[in-house]
Amino acid sequence: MLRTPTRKLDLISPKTSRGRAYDPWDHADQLGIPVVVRRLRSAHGLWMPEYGQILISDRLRVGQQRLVLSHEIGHGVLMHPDDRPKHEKQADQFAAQNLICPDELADLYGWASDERKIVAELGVTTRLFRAYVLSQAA
Amino acid sequence: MPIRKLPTTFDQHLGSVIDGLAKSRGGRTWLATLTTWSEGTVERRMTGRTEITVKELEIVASALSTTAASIVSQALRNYANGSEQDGIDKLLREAAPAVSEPPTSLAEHRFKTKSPAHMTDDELEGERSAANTDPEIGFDQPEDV
Repeated sequence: MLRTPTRKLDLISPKTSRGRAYDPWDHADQLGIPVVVRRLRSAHGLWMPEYGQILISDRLRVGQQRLVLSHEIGHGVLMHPDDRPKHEKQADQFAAQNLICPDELADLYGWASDERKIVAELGVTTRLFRAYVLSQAA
Repeated sequence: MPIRKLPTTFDQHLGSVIDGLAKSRGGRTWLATLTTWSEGTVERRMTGRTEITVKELEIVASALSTTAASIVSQALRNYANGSEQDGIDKLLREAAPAVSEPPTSLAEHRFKTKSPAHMTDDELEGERSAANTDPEIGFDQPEDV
């Protein structure tokens, strides 16, 4: 049976870049997680714990696939068996810590105070940005 | 003349071989004396209703001036109506539980197992998964494309 690890994990792979340079496709490859792009009826992406695979919707734009894949890798690395809210939050934090570079964000805070503008500049969603902020505050 | 039922199981064939060898020495009564079995016990062993142990087989074979291996070999040939190996094969086939054919290799087994990449939407929804449904992420193409 798959279990959620209780120890605190290092969420960022030392072999991957952060922020805009972060490539989740490369990250999944490094982790040995197969990623399949296909039509999905009711989700943008799926982590299949019993198969150790990630499915990404082929109806998403490339940038959106990047965000979804980052989130699904989080489920995979954290060995989540399902998408209960706690797991979703953890996967969002995992994705956000890879997608958002602290230096880039610090620069942004210098000239943009509006959350929407920061989110747009970072190329993430509000949910991911807030997950990042929360993870930094914790 | 009563109709003699032909042996079908291996135990019946084994009993039949012993029965045939014992005939010239006094038949089942002689066997009962030799083994200190009752005539009912001898009858059950000779008709295959009760299994003969290896130890009993060795006692009987020794008394019949032969070996347990020779008796078993003859019983196996009769059982398969062929060679001793045919008899062993038939015995193994019948003793084996009914199971499906194993895949020839693990790789083939994996190939046969349907992967999520090839599942229908309904099958996918029946699987355990963690789904991303972030409402800020919108679809680029209409659903029926």
